[in-house]
Amino acid sequence: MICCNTKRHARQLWLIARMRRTSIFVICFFVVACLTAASAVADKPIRLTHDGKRKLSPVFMPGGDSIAFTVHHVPNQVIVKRLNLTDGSQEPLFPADPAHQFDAAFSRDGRYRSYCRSASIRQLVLVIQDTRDNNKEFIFLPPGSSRGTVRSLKFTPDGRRIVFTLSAAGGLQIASVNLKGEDLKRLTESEGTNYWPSISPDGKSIAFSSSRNGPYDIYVMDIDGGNVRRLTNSPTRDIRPAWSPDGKQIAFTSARDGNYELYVMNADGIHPRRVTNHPERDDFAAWQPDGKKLLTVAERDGRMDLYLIDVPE
Amino acid sequence: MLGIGRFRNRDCQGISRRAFLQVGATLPFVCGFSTLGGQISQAADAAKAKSVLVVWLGGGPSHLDLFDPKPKASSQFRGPFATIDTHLPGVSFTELLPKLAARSKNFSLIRTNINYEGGHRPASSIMLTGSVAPDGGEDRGGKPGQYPPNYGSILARHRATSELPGFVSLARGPIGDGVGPIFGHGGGTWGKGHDAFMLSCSDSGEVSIPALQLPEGLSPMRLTDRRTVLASLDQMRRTVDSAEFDKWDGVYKRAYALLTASDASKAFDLTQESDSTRNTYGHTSFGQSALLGRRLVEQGVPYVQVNWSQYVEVFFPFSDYGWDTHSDNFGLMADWHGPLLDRVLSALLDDMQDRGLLDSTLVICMGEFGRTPRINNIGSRDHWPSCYFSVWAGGGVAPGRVIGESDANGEHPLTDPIAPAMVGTTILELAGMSTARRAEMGVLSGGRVIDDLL
Repeated sequence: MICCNTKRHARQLWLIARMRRTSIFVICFFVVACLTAASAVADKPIRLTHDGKRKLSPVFMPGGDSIAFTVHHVPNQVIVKRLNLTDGSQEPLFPADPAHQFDAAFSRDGRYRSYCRSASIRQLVLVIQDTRDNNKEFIFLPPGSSRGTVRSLKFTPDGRRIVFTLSAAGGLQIASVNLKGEDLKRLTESEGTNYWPSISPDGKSIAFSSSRNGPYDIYVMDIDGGNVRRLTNSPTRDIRPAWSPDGKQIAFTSARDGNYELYVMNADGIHPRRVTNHPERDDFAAWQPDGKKLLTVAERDGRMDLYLIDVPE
Repeated sequence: MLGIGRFRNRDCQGISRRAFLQVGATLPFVCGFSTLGGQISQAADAAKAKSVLVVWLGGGPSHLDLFDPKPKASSQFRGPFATIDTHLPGVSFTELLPKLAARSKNFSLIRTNINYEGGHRPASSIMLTGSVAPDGGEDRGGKPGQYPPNYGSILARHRATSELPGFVSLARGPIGDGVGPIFGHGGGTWGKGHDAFMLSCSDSGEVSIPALQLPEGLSPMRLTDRRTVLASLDQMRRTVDSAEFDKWDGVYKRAYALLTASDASKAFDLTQESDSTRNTYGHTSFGQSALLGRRLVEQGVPYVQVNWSQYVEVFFPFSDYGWDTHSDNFGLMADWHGPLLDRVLSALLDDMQDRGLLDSTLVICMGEFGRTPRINNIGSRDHWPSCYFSVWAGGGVAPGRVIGESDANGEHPLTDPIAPAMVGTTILELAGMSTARRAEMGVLSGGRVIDDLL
């Protein structure tokens, strides 16, 4: 992996050398030296899992010493697993649930946890568990068709509501409910598909992807759904925004360079820079709690695993 | 890398105690396998396609979100994916298929397939047999055994390749939906003896035979000794229900003969492939199954069906992520279905080409129907048999063509529709079965070839 900083440094050196009319040999020498130095500074990606199974939606759990992720565990079951970062052990997070499980989310204080469960009454229902009350469950059933779904769950920073993607007529919309799965509020009502909400750390804004104006781009709106602004305008999809812990940056997945790669931009949408550069897939960015690394699902040699990678300046 | 029924013979820790059929030279050779390794029957010699490999996308993949995008349609139709150029002038795919777009000169695309049914099982039976079941189909009380034979069953019978299965289907079990299996996946009116030989391939490349369950008292380890096996079977024959035993015995003998033949066993052993090749296909069940399919073709199996999943459904508790995306179509397509199809089908086409197999192998990728161009009331897409796609490569197919044009919203063909019988007729014709031969066998004798493909 070569980050864009490395490429930029190499180009700067090349231009300087050209201006000074130095020899090709000198140019090459400095480029190689620059690449070597850059790679020495940037940490190598840290591979966290090694089973190669298909994975989705990783997220740091409260406390930061564990990761929850969705994994295609066996052919006919997708489950949520917990990866303990201190010893590398893994365990199902909801072992008593035989259904497909997706997209775990946690309240900041760790009291509540939530996930999507496949069911017959609805295709995917929202499950909210109170871990301080013997995992007492609250279920939100998406209204309308029996095939209704919820996906991509996020707790608000104050821990009072859950924001998610809700199946709706003509498209998908961003919505929220309280911790009892009640008081449904629809936050978007646009054409097209609205997906992958991410809430700013101060709880005031929601970044999300929308196809309201064509292919997926990233938008931001106030926490109540008002004041929608467009952050990206790419000819191909920009998806899965993830707000950094300090609120200053947003990571996202984009296909603007031909395949799934991770990017980071300022929270106002400017200065997008490429984080990954690999012919296979890099996707599902989530920030490490200290904001220094991104947790991702990367496909390498046909295997999908969790990695921690550096975030460029 | 191979086991029978629920048994596995190798895992990450090495050799399992439950391994019982270690394929290779150490096993007894109970029956001859004279047709393997390029010794294909004379019937294949005249065929442009010595083998047929069908990549079956059960559940109905969305044509608008893959091979027939409609970016100018309204948001009620077009979906959220951008389009990308292919190497064919004026032809675009969605951005979910960058690898296939880059290989668009290596295959041809039909954009105007049609089907006559909107239910998974009847539509699948029609697409896999080219004929409408006389009893109205699985959803109208149809019964197995009353269906026309699958193209694979027809070709297997035409080629008549002794013990080597002529029709192998790769899935965890009989393919179908939550209601039941697809009756047109098998021998139909010709009987169960013409059914597909099912093999299952895991994401780690382990191969097993899902239909086989070892009878009580017959341990896996004992199966490696031919005399013990025969003695055990004789004993069992006297103690269990004869009809049930005969059914199991027939499958078992076929399987045992296949697995213990050294040439055949090589076909199942994916460890003989380089890491690079296995990685290129990707370590998913679908990816490794496609690689296994290529190996079976290489060994001379006339007809192989590589199935995306056993069940068409995505989210139901039993299901294994099929293409029936009534819910969350756009999330699923971006997360999983689009990238996986792009990777595996591209790898398969490249690999077949690199090995010189593509000229003599007809590769077809299709499902039973497409999905509704109009987005449904939960932001997804439902079944749509009125217009959808199929991908064709090799085996006498002219590459780099797009056949047929759909209307502005992808709802109906603007040009001549391609009926299921035309699909079947073209497959069998390229596989060397003339109209006269098909008439002789009583199958698809009135069908028309898709001339634009040739």
